[in-house]
Amino acid sequence: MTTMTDDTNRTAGYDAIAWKWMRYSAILLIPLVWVHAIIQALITGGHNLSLDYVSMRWATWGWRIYDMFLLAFAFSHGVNGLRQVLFDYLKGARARKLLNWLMLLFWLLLTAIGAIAIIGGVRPPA
Amino acid sequence: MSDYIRKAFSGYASYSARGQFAFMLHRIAGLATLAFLTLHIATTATVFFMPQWYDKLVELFRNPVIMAAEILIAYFVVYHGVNGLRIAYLDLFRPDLWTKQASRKATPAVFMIAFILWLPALAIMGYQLLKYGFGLFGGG
Repeated sequence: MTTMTDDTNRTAGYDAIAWKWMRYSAILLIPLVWVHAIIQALITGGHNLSLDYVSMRWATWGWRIYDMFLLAFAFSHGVNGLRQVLFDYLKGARARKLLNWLMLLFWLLLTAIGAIAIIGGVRPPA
Repeated sequence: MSDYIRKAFSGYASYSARGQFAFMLHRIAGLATLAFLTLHIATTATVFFMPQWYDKLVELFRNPVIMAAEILIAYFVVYHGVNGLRIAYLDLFRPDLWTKQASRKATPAVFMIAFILWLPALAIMGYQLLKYGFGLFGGG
């Protein structure tokens, strides 16, 4: 299960940071994701979600900060995981560089969309 | 291409059958969760960008296929979490425990713990599926 013997450099540079980030964010994501999923999917239920429910929850700034943490940690963990899987298919330095940029763009785009929505909050439907 | 697929799902070290399955499931679960998460962020963000869409999207997701898929995603999240905690613990604190013998003992425990932790989600989301997906128990 360990990724010690694959061919990415784990002792220095960005890949070492990414490797550590995956482990530390994993530990933090256990409580973050499970509390989120238990409240929204099990106690509230996906079928009960609505604009009113979201605006009620986001009326508390604590939950917005909570969701911001979730967005930051879960999505970066996920995109970096996808990057690691795709690295198994792409061995060339140029292909990997291109992939890194694409992943960074994908991560920035979705994170920006999510963050703007959390900060902007629920708008009344036009 | 099949060589690439084999490589991507066989792990980096040489595993026993269970270890390989644990590795494969971890990847599949992670990728499926990322796909869900991407959709989840994009659809939830409509509360700000396209608020008239949000309630329609919730309605759209309230169908049996999506609800069953969500129960599967719940298992993936639980398994990925339990197995990921094992990976993080071993990599960060006890790399000496990365042995075939230790993994052979740990992986069945991981499967069991993940399955047991998933059962409440299966019960509650299964009930929601029958009620709101199929209209049983007076749901619609």
